[in-house]
Amino acid sequence: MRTHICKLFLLTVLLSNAAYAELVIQISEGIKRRPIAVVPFGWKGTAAAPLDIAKVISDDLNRSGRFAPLPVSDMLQKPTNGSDVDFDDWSVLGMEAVVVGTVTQTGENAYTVQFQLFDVYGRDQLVGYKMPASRGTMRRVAHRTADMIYEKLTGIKGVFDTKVAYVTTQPRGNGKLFSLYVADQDGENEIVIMESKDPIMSPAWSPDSRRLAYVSFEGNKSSIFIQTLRTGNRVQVSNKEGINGAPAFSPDGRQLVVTLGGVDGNLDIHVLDINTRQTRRLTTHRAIDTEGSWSPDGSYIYFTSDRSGGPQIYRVAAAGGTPERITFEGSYNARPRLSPDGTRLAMVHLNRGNYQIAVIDMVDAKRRDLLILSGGQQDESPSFAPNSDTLIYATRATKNGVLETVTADGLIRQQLASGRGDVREPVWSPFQAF
Amino acid sequence: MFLHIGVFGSLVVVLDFDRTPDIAMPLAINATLVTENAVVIPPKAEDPPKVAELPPEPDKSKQERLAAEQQKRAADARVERERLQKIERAKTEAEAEKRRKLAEAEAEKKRLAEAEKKRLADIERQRLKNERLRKEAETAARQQELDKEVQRVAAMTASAKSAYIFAIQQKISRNWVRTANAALGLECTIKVQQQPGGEVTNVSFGACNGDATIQRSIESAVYKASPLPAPRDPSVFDRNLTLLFKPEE
Repeated sequence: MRTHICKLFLLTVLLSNAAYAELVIQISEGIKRRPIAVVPFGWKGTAAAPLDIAKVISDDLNRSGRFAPLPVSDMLQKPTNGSDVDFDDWSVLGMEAVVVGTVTQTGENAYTVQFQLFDVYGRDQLVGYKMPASRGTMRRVAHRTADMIYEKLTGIKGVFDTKVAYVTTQPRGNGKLFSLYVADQDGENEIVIMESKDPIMSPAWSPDSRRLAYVSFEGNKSSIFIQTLRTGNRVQVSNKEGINGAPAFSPDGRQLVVTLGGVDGNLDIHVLDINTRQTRRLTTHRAIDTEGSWSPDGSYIYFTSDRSGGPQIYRVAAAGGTPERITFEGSYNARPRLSPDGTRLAMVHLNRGNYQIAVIDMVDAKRRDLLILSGGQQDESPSFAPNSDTLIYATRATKNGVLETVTADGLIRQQLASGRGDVREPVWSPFQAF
Repeated sequence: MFLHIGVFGSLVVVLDFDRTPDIAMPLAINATLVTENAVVIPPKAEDPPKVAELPPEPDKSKQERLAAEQQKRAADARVERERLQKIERAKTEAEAEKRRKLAEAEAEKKRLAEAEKKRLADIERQRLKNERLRKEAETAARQQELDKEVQRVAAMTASAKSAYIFAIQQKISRNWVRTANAALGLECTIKVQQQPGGEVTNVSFGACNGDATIQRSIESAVYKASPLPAPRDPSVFDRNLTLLFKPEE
């Protein structure tokens, strides 16, 4: 396992208008970016500060599309302590909130990060914390701080301290090199989990975010592996005859839903017990049944089936039963993923010849309103952030896949442009234990 | 803020307790005075017997002696009477004094009780005042929280409304069949009436630079989009919607 120096170059683009072929939204209320000042943190220690924490926080808030951080050069004062904050100065600059803080070195590799968030209008502190950190955890502490600020100001849980796994394809000699990566959600700390000249597909996070399941075609045959991130240790859990594909963890982390082809090649949904390796077949239709994923409560498995002619989303009770069709709008709906709060179902939807990311509102079973979130031609692999508010997916820019994020209401969309080849199949991690 | 009220309140209470010994002092002084007066009275009552020990007059005649004796008896009787009267008076006076002192002590006791009552009342009044100030501060703080919540909800409602309008516009747009003559700069304001279930009941046009054919295509798109999507937040539902229809490309 090695860390790549090459970073994801992050392009923050607010795209609510441009990408829609048919529509320009003009909404008077709009999504207003809230002005916020993240003052450079004070530093008490030897040598230089290990990390510009304020910059990490500021970049996080900016990337969310909901905040417009004030450039440091425009600040009239740079307090590092709450008692030094002059609210009039920030009020003049039109700031709604101010973040100040200090990093104090307490040992060779021990620091204390302290921050305070102030409401400029109310002239009071909204949240303030002191957290221990080391050089290794400093960046996570910064993301955690951004999460707390974000949640306090928007009422939505922040996902800055989360990770994303994805697969890249790059030319290598006469063939290709497939790599499975895990990176912080801002593209930093990118780590190769697995590399192969044969395709790697369908990464899936375990609920504790410590393991990844994926499909590897090494030896020209598909099989499913579970790899522990910390140790790099991997275990082959399914190597049956025919296709072994599309794994997804059950909410309790003990089972995988997988697609198995068997000898006759009839793809069906199976549940695999990770400990015993025993499988239980859930669908038997001669059509293709694939891309299974669990409902957050573990009671249903949603999957794609072409039993009605074209691909549509169905669900079947995890205990077994008769599949029930979920999608009816459009001729192509595939790769279902329920939001962690269970209120939205994301999928790839064919819209006027373009494969785009859409969500169905699952709250009102009679309505099931569909909303298209992306604007590309070949968008794929929607995956919800653990806060259910944002999704990540892959889209095609020229011939390479790049990653985009979009809020589940479709209002804020951003592109994460990558320096490396073709990026595909992004999956957002669950919330991380600290 | 609370801390300040707390400190102020405790100061007031402390001051009140400090004053208590001042009030108690006069009681001790008065008590000493009562004792002194009582000691002074007895010597006054013993004065008259000294008068009775005057030396007797020389013998002149029986008559004179008798007369003198009578006179003397009368005088003695008077003296005795006066003495008794004096004693009686002194006794009465002492009793009166005693009663007066008693009354005074009673009055002092009453006054002290009153003072104590007043002191307790003052403390109670201060407590109530502190309580009121605390409650006012609490209410103000709660109001501030509420204002912030209102702002937050307003911001979220604006966002919820944006999301709602976006979903409606998108569904109409998805159902629109572009007419051959739809120009690039097409821009129409459409007014849509819907029922609570999202069923469209009426479509009319505001400012629109498209011709009748285009307007018909938009109108049919709105009806095809019926029922319109429901908002995630029911509070932003509106029967009458004004939407901008502005296709690109």
